[in-house]
Amino acid sequence: MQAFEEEMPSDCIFSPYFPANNPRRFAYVHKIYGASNVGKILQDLPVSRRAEAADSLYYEAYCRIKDPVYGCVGLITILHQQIYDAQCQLARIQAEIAALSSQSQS
Amino acid sequence: MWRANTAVECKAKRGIMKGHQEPRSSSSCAACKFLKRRCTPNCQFAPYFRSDEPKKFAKVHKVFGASNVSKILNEVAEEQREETVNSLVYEAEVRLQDPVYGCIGAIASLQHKMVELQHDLILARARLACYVDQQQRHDSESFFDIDHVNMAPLVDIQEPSAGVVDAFDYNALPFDQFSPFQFP
Repeated sequence: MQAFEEEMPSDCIFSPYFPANNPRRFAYVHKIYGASNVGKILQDLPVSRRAEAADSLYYEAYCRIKDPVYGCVGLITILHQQIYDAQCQLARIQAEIAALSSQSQS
Repeated sequence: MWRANTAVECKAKRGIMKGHQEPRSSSSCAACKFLKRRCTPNCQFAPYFRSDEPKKFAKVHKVFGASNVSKILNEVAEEQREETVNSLVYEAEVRLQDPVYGCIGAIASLQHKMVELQHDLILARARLACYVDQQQRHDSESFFDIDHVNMAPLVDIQEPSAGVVDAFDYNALPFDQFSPFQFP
């Protein structure tokens, strides 16, 4: 926010969520979304939801800077794959249990 | 006198009469149509935002802005730009659907599901271990045929496991380092 200090009034929409003592936070969202877009997103939300929105925008911007190709979508892909693998494992184990169960009953 | 017989020819003729060297292209990409500018042959957006997909660029523009998208595309290798655009479009769509959490909401939901699955796996593996143990006990007991005089040597029966078997390697999962509200 220091980059905009001289231009923004003291009651600017960013100040509660992008404090001056953490310049990286705003720098990241500004780099990916632009100040104007972030302002519009926050403006369209009730005040009670803006802090969470600012946090999620910061996190997504961080992911995008770290991985310009996939951003946080890369993590979603990984999680989908791991969920699929876990479901397959669970299905295999449940099949083994069913087989052993019927074997012990017979 | 050259006569314009079609609408396109009319436009072309007007363009020529106004001194323009070429008529406005009718094959502008979605980005240039949205931005109301001429789409050049080397337009950066044209390969990824076809003219028949106007909403795709509109979403990305609303969330990221054209210049930011351009900067991101310039940072990645050309062969990765299509993937980059796809992920930006996805992220923009999710953000527009959920302006508060965007993709972070989706990540949190998937992490929650993963934790539930891990719990189910632990229980299932423990249950399987019990069944296997029961089977082993049954097999070793039936091995002792009491009608035979010469008893077979005792089978070394191991103590059953505590019940909790190997679960997932938590460290292998990315969400420990990408937990939604553990910010860098």
